[in-house]
Amino acid sequence: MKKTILLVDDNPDITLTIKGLLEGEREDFKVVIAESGEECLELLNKDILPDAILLDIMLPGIDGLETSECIRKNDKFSKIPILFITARNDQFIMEQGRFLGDDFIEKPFEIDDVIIRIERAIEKLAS
Amino acid sequence: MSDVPDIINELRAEERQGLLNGGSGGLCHQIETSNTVLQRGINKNVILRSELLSSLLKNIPDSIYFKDKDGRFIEVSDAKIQHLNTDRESILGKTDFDFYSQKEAEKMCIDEKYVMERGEVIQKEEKITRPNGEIAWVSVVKTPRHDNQGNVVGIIGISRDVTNQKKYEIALHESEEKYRTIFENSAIAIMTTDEHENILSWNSYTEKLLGLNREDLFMKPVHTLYPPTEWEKIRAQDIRQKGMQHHLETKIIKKNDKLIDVDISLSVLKNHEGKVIGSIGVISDITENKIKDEKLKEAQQILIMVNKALEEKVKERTKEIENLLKQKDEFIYQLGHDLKTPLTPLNSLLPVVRKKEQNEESKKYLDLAIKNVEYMKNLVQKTLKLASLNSTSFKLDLEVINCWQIIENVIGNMSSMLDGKNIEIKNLVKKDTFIKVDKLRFEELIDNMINNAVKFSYDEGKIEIKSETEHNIIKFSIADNGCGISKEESEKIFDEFYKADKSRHDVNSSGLGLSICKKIVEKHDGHIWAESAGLGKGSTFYFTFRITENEGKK
Repeated sequence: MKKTILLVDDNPDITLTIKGLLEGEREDFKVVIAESGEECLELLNKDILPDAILLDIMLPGIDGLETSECIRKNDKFSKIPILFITARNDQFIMEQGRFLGDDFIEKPFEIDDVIIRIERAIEKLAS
Repeated sequence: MSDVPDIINELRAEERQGLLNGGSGGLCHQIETSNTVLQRGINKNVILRSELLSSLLKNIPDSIYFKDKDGRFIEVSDAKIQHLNTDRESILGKTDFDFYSQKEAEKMCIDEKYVMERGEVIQKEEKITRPNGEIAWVSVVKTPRHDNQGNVVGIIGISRDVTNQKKYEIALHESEEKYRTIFENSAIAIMTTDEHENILSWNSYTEKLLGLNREDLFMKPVHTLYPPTEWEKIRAQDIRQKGMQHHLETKIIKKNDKLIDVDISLSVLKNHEGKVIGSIGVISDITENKIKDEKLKEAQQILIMVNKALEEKVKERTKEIENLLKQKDEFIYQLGHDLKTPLTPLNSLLPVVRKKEQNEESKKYLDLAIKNVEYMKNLVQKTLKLASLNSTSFKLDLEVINCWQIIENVIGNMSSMLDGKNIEIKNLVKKDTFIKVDKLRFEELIDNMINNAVKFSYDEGKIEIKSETEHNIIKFSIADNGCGISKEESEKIFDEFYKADKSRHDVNSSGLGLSICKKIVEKHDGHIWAESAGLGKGSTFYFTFRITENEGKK
């Protein structure tokens, strides 16, 4: 069974890159794209429940941290692993990200590293 | 001829004889026996006068001399004998020319001629040089001598030594002259008053200071010079009781009723009986001092104001600069982050494309692109790191760590990245070295330092990491046997964006590694520096950390 990854980022270059690389490297990965926090929550509410969420922090509208808070509040999908992706490495954001999310990926990243982190998060949930 | 001196001579001879015969009575007896009774009364009178004269000549301290018409000494007093420094016999019959210098004798001769020709008495004070060379002042009286017929037959001279008196007079005169000069030429006003407080005398500067002349001052009550309130102040000092008073600041009335500020010193003048006979005042004009004081105060005020304004400006500027620096940090930070996103596709996709590419030439170009993207990524990361270390919100996350272990880990992670060089890295830090630091920063520091050492090592290199503890300081050293650094360079290498070789377009170096190291060390209140024996002789980098007693060794 394919693993669905919900990728939330407003930058089409980034989403194209990540989607292309992940699906290119791993045939069992299917990447679904949301361009904002709102769209992400909308999809989740439509019962499109992914195995993991890659969440950008700097988003238009509600930002990544706020989006993650909303995800955690809803029992239906609160357990889905969240991996923050961000260009910012401010201490505050990193702390918040670590606190609310399951992992933290800093741009620019090595795709192998991203895959390892996604798998690790999914495995952790399963165990 | 019945000259008196002749009589005296005869009498003297008789006297001497009488003395030889046993006492003064002998003289009378002989005269009595050789003269008639009639003559006795006259003789008695003559004898008395002779005795008187004889005693006078013998005892008087003045030089007395009798001279004949030709200036020859007929009789002299003992004092004269003494002054001529010889005996009586050697004097009689001689003239002044035998004893005094030509010039001196001529002078005397002229005077005596005058006396004899005119028959007048001369009285004068003169300076003479005695036969023994002594200079003396003498008061001389020369009178003509007459015979029974009233003819001038010589002179009688009486000369009194007034040298000492003259000396005092001269000294007094000089002293007076001196004081008068001081008094007159002083650039301060000096004024004396009598016992009734009327102005008695003053020096010329007084007139200049007050703009007043003699008529305005002489015998005027001194209080008219002062405003009534000031005069009361002066009177309150009670000078006439106390004797003196120094530096009394007051005001004095100048010409046209203008007031000037003065400093007065007053003293009481007393006579030899201690009775107050007046007072003396020394007055100096302090108007200019006062003006200077005022100006000085004004200048000080201005200075204080200027200072304050400057301080304000400096504060303002400092704030501006701080703001600018903050803006700079924020800008760098923002730029760094903004670069990270576009770097992501490049960084991730290029290796994928490179993997799939078959064309050898394209592969070469892709390798080049990948290398430069790597460099850019490195630069962005380092820049952001430095910016975050510089930011005011930066805080250290302190924890106690095992240094040896951390260094081991760092070396372990980098073995594959030694620039393709065969370099031996030795961790000689003691295994039980613990310090309290920000672990991530410390790792970064060690990583940067070793990377730096590797970068400047030759193909066969050796790097040694050591530490030593002294008091509450732990000093780490990272020594390489690489290309070394010059002294000038060693001071610059920690500057931001400094590159040892600017012409070298080094894609492996951001020029920020050592700046980051410096920041990390400084954030921990430590020091960092580099030493090198010179180019080609390797270099050693040092950095220190503070440790508490519980740390260091556990």
